[in-house]
Amino acid sequence: MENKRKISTRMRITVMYLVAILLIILVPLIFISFGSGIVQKLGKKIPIKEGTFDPETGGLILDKSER
Amino acid sequence: MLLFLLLAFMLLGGNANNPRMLAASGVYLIFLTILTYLLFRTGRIARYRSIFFSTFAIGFVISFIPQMLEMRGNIGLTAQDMANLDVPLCHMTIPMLLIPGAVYGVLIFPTRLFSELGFFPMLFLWLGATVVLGKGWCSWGCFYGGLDEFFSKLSPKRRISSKKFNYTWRFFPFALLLVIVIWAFLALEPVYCTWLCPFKAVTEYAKPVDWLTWLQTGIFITIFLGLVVALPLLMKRRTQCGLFCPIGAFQSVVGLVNPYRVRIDREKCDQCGACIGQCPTFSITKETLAKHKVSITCARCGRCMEICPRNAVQLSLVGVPLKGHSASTSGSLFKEVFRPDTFFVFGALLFGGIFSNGFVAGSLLRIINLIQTGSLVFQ
Repeated sequence: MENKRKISTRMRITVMYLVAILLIILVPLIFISFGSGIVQKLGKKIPIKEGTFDPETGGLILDKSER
Repeated sequence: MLLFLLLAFMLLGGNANNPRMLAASGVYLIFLTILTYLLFRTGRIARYRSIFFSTFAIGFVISFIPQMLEMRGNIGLTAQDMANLDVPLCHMTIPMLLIPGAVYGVLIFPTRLFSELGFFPMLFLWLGATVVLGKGWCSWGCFYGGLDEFFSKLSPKRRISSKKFNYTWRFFPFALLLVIVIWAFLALEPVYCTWLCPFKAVTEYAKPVDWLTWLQTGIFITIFLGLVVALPLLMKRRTQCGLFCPIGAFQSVVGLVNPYRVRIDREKCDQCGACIGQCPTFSITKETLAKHKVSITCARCGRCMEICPRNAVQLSLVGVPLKGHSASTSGSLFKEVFRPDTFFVFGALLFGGIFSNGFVAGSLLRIINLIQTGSLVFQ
């Protein structure tokens, strides 16, 4: 029983250290991805559009279909 | 060495077509390398992080304002600028945009979706930062937080003691977050930016044309001078970050996806309370210390780890017992490197270094331009 617990703790520690290494690898990947067009690709799949703003007041204009 | 190579690849590789920017990035790379060396050599995370973080913030301010002047000719926003969607977005707006975006499918902030400082690039950058740094974003990535940090370090002596300070105030940002999210949804307007954001003082603001815009101007200048300049100078704490910033509160919650936590070793801690008076974001109190915990608002700045006389405060990984750390100063090089705090600081410096390069290297070029032509704005 004690042995099993020791193995599971060791396993958990190993997994967490692997996660920590993955997070470091992720950093350059995040910045490289900006130049690769992946942001545009993913962004286009999200259903959101730019707002229309009143040139007189600067307020957002929502048309009826949006409301 | 590995950090140097990664930073060199990212900082210099991104500017290969621009020789002036390449040279400025090279200077910044040397600066970052020296800081990193000193940080790991001395173990004084908070001290050298603070130098990096303040440099980042000052570089941002020196770069951003002239950039806006080049782009639009002014930093006072007009209704026409908003209609043209010419307003760069920052991470502070993200919590306000999510609910109206989901409900109406429209961005309530006057920015473009895919421009360099538009919605999606900032959203993905912030998401990445949240995974890699968690709440540590507030101490390693947020260019506004660096201003708070800078002013809190300027004064050599604390003028206002925080002994009688009511630490419940550290939850005020959570209440403010709730208010601005609901208010933004009802008003369909980024209300924090319109009414409260103190950093409009160093970025851009609605051009004061009537009593309403003059009132907004008065509010943000007052909050900036009070919470970002005066109180950090007097208390030597990051008062805006710790007691006001609703985005910091948002980051405290979503940042839990990151596996790093600051923990206090029960066996080593003798409850001396040295960390309580030093935590810049008011995240350690008598109550949390009694439970050997830090508050959810902890920004991973490393100050408590640096000043604890018994070395009881550690940056650890979730699920890894503190005894499981191979923390040792007399062990092998492998043991010294293979520690959660080393991993976190490595990733945070890498992220912060790459993210800040455009601003800091750009500000170097602008300072040279100022000396040569008398203006920070490029002709």
